[in-house]
Amino acid sequence: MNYFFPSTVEEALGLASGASNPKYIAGGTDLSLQIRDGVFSPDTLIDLTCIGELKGITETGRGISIGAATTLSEVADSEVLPSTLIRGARLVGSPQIRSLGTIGGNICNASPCGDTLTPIIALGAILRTVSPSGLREIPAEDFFLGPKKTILKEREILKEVIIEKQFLRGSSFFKKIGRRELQSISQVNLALWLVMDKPEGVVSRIRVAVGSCAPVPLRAVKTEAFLEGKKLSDDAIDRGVAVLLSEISPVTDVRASLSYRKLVAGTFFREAMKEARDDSEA
Amino acid sequence: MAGKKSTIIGKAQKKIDGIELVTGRARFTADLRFPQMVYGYARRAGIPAGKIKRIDKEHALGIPGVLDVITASDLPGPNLIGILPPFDQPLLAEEEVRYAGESIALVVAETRDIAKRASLSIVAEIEPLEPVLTVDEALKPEARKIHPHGNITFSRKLIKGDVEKGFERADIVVENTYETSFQEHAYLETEAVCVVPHGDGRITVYASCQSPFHIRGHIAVNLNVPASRVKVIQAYTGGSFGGKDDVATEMGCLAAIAAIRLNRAVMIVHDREESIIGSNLRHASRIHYKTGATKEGKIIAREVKILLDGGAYASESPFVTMKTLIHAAGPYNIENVFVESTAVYTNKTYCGAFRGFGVPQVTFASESQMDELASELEMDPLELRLKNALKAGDATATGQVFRKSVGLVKTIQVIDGKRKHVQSKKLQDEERWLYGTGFSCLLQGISNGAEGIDVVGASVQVSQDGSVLVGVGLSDMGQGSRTVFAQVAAEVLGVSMERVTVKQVDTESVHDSGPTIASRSTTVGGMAVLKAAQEVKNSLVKMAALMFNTREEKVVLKDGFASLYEDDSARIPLDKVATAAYWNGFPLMNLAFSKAPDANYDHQTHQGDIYIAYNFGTHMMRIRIDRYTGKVEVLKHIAAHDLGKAINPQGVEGQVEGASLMGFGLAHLEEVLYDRGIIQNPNFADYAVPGIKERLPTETVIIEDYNPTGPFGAKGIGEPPVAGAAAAFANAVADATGIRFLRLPITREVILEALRGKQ
Repeated sequence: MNYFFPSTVEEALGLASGASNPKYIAGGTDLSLQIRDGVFSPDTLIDLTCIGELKGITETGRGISIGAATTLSEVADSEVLPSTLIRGARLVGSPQIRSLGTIGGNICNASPCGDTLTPIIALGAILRTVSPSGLREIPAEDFFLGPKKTILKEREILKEVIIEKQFLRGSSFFKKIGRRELQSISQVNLALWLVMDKPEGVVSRIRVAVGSCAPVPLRAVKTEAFLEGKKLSDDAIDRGVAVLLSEISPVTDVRASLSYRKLVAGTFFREAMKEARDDSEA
Repeated sequence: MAGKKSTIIGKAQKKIDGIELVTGRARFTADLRFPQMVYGYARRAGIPAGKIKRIDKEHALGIPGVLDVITASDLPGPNLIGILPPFDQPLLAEEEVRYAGESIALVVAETRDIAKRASLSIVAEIEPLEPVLTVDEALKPEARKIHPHGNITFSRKLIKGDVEKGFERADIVVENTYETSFQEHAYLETEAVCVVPHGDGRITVYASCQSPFHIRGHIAVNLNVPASRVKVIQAYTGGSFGGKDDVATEMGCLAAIAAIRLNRAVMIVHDREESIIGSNLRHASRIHYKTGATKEGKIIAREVKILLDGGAYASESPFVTMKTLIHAAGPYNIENVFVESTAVYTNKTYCGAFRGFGVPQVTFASESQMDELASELEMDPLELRLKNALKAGDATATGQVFRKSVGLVKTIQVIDGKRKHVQSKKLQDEERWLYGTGFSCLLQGISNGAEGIDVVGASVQVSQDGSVLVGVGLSDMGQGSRTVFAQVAAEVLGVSMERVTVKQVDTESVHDSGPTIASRSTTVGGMAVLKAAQEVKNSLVKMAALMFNTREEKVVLKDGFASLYEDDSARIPLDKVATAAYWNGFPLMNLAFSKAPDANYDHQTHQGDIYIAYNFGTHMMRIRIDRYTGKVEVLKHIAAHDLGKAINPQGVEGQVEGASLMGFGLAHLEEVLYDRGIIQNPNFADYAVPGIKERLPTETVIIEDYNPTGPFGAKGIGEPPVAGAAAAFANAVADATGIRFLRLPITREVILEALRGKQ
């Protein structure tokens, strides 16, 4: 197996087009296990962690750009990112995994339970990719096609995660449960972003995403539509929970049962909405 | 000053091997390297039951770097391992596959990666058999026999008094059926062995293990060589908990056979997945309890029927069965007891020794019953336990009477004294959190007891410089026994801990002392060290008396000197005494034995003397449960144990905290999930062992009720807290939710679903 450390995106693309069965690698915390288990057998690994432009969190005119090869611990320690993403990154794996693993890797691994996936969907993030045919911008919610499946074409590189200015205001939340407290895989996670219309006390904008409750991290569009423009009474929140539970489709698997996932997803949404309401009243 | 309190025994000591372990200087088996060393990797069956038709090695042998592929037909010996009768387990399955993780071939290659890849390219034609996957299926008369002798591994009864008559007199009877799931040892270091051949027919085996002499014996038999040619060195062992016994013999034998065939050093190290699917687990159980009491709360009858799922091979199932039998009645004085315990074969990973050895399963069930009974009687749970607690002079379930060292009542009282304070803590957000407190009492037999003869040989040697070398054939796998042995020798010989060295266990330099199990190291092993040290002390005292020109009883050894009782300013450095003793021909080395009295009991009823002592304990756990997620927080855990005498209180705390956390894992987190005979979660992502956040807020309370059969009065503590913490957790959840959970683990998910069902 060949292993390359390109220093530019162009070089990485060139290496990939010259190889018969290449795979991009960043932290490798998921990929190395998949290679070990024979899920992938690439002949060439192209390591993206030495490419400067793929790294770091930068404020731009458009909002904030997170290079795909930025480590999860850098995301977790950020002071400028919305709290839902910071919290999600903090709860991925262990400190060792977060030091190696990258946000781009977490996204491209496309696990339905990935802890940064629901936050980027709730934040309406744009995923910028690059391939020999050029640049693409893909809304995060359209990026995931199934467990471990993304919209990326072969040899296409996820370059950066863009969070636009409009999503930097408002408040955001992340909730997660696993079998144990830390170093656990999400049985359910939920990310919420919303903006309250303060004088009226109504929801002016809201985005919700639920993880581990469908083959992909799922944006709850019906729930959003139901709550937009509503005053956050307990009753409205409860009815919002009912809408949410009707639009997710969890399954029973080795990690949790369908009913537990629904119960907790409802709890998380109710909790997050109440926290958001308290925030806006404070 | 004579008669001054010891500065060694009963004082917190750092582990003597602690520094190298925490700094990474200790070299574990997988860290070892030898010239031209190669790697073995086993091919596993992959299906739970089948007839092996053909194993085609050719393709694997053609892979560059592959040196050898060994199947059952290549083995020079009987292809048999097993800790005790019925010795039913092959090294490599020959005709029949009995569990999915079973090894059917070993590939040896230049690198571990090649060996692993090649193992997958072996073509194995296995004709599937309908697997027998549950205890109920296995017990059906028409069930396929997993072994020629049937599907019952072992079954015994304990009969004390007349349980039928007891129930007739009872005012209240409670009855329930409980279950526990399989548990994985989950040691930090997976199993590993390395075998180095020497060219003269001798081999050296480095192993992460807990019974080096078992490995030596099995290798000798399976290689058909004298045991004296096999040297087993226990490498630093990163946890074992009962798990590195059977599997270490399997790996040791395979590596040894490969090493002899190739005349090269062979290393086998398990992946985490192999460690879970291919080595023994804790028995899953289904236990039916019926308890009868008078309306005053005196228990007069207990009937228990235990079924243990032992998986594909016997391993230690017979002894675990015995242990559940003997402990099922709990630490209570009950006139009429009937227990039947049966271990059953199924086509799953075999079960064997695991810290607690059957006691956690029955204690969870028994202590749940105690709370159910207390609630029927409208009696305080601790009061009920106190009313029935075993005391010195009472007969245990086996009719054994201990005149001393039955400290259960003290452990209950100390918990009772502390509970008010714990329960009075202010409750926060009561709407969201359900608060509860659980109690449990337990006993755990110390020493092999009914499981076999219990002998330890220990050597103590004093050099001319006065330093001390101790050798015991029991393994330290993290529990701190080397430190305890050093303390015992240091105390007797009056030297500081720094002057004592404890040998690494090496079958050529220490005496066979049996397996390191049954919480016996401190009690039986410590006693052997005590005896050996006393013999050497006699030589030194005799020499010093000659040098002082006084009588022997006037001489004491302390602080590195021989001195006079009356006046300790009159003193001679120990090295001078030791040198003189050497030149005078007084022996400075002794090999002593500690042999526990043989168990003496009726094999039909299990009435008689079984153990040399019991550890007694009471646990209390205060928890709160998030009613919206099922999340549990342990707010306080107090573990009070009567362990006779704490030789090293710091070591005791470590054992109590670690064992309690394992019990908590069993009760709340851990479950080996099977689907059609295949383990679904053979990794730490999906098999949830406790993490750092789950560390329990344990307060260890040491009760010292002197045990005449242990060194300085000590009894073991390595296993007992597992049962206490598991049972207390279950009772705390029941107290908080008002729901009695009958199966472990009681996970967040189980709790939340039950709370919803209750609404």
